[in-house]
Amino acid sequence: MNMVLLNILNAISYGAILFLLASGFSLIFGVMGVLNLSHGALYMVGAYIGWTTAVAHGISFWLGALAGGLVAGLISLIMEAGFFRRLYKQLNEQMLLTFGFVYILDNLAKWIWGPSYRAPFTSPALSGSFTILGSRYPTVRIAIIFIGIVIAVGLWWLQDKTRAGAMIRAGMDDRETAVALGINLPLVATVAFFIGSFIAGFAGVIGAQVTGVYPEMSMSVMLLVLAVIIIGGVGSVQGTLVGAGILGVIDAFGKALFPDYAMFTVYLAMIIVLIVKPSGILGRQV
Amino acid sequence: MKQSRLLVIVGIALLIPFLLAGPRLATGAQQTQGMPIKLGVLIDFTGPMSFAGQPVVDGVKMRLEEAGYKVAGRTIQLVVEDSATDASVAVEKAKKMVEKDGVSFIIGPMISGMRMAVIPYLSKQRILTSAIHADPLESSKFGNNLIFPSTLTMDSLPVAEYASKVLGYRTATCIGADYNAGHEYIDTLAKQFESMGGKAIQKQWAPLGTMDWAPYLTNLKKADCVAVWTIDSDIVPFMQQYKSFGQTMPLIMPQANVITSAIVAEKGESVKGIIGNITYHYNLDYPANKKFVADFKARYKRMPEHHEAHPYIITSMFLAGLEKTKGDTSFDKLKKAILSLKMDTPEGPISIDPNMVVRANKHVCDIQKVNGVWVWHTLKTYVQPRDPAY
Repeated sequence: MNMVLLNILNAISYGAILFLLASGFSLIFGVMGVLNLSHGALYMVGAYIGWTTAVAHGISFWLGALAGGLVAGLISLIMEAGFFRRLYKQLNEQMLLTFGFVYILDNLAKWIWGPSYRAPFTSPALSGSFTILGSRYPTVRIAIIFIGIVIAVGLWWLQDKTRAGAMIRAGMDDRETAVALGINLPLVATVAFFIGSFIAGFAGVIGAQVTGVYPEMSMSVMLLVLAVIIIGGVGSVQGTLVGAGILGVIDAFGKALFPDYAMFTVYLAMIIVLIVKPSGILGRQV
Repeated sequence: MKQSRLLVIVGIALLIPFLLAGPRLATGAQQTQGMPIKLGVLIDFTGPMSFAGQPVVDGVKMRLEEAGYKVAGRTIQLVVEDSATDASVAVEKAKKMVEKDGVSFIIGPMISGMRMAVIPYLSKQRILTSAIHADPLESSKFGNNLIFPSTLTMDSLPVAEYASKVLGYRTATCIGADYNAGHEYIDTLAKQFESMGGKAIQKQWAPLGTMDWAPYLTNLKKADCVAVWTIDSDIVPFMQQYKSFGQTMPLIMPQANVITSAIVAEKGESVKGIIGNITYHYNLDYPANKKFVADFKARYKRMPEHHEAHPYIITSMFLAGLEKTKGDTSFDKLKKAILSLKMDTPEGPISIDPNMVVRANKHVCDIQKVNGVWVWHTLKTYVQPRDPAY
């Protein structure tokens, strides 16, 4: 029983990281229709900025997380204003462009921080572990679950309970009508892009508490983002939450029960959802 | 008439590149005296193993600069290519280095799976190559592969013996990286452990790039020790998460060089408690190593790791072999010369068996704080052990 409950905790903490990763991507794709494959690279940049702030300069971990989000958001503004505005609804071109940004950001990271792996880092307050169900469990993972819940609630509140969220949803559902009704959709899209990228950068620092930071992480996290989006559906906080939760459970229990097939379980889930419900479990049409 | 003349001209034009490239396409890349000798380095500058690329080149360059880029009166040229942590890219680059650049020897690539893709091609071309951090014994069948510093098996046996005979461990639970080197390291360690009366009660395999070790750590069975091996970028999150999950079983590790001295210095508290098999650390007590470390530090302003020390030693063997052949790079002569070498190196004395397996000292080490710095510390040295499989 202990093992089951501990694995559930593992599933939830991993799912929280996936949710943080994927929620920004879902928001950007839902509002702007931009397939930003460099989302993983923004996650990586955020993690490096967090590492520089918290480890290299010994400043607060939480300031590092904020700085990571801000830098990722600023980079995204440059990308959006300079490039994505010109490629509305041109999915192939977006993919190629954002793929190019991945290489640029990866190599910039290698140039600035070097190719070596950076060990996981966290706030001193979160560095211990506590006893739960007779076993030790890291405090940092509980903190990640808590942060994931706060961000999820915040995004849901923004999406469903605010005027800004209504404008974002209007833009997702019917862009032309939203514009005709006087919504400044380019501004809404830019703000959504910034928020989505901020979350990616912030998530990079939060995730680095478990995974550390290395230059090639952008593509590996991007695969996970796509898996979450495909399973949960794009364009809603709830969909991303469901997708991240399902992936977290599959990963944790897959490795525990079917370790030889752990590499395939996640992608098997993706394939099943694509066949049964291609828009995702809670997906909206985009 | 005009058409046939045109065909002849086109045919000759097509032949010219092959005629000019003829000497390079000759098997064994035999190069005439007076022409530069080309040494190839095929290593990852991109992909998950990119952290190793520049250090490997630094180690080679340091040795070549010591030799003034000359041996036996001939100039040496270095040819470096990126294998991109991809076997197909490694093969293409190897072909380019052999057929276009005319290299006589290739150091790398690093990962054993990629090496098994490249070695057969190089064998057909009669080009010598060397592992950087060990190869499976089966690669010796191709006859052109210098297995340095040892076989994958020999990275496991010393620590298995130490755990069993010195520390008295009787049970082990194992976690390994799910690819050929990970399987060979852990399976060999488990087999050796069991041959000494112990029992490997569990094996878990984690894909390369595993960052979240929670599922594996949660499911660890209780044993006298945990035998673990994975690649450089995965081992530190493993160690940190191992401690944060409150696991206290002692850790043993074949090929523990993946925990570099830099990581040990930075994260000593997180990684202490591991006992591992180390081929090279900068505190090794050999005269050649003291000189190597001093020179390296003066040149690069950092302490050397195995990523630099191994290529340095391989390059030394290459140069020493060429001295013996008086600069003749032909495959049979160079191979025979290298096989006859006995050298003192930063890893201690080495010799080479007829199947091209290098016999070097193995050091079982733990992590201790010495003069305020966390370092690898040698517990026991196994002198030039031989792989029992041959």
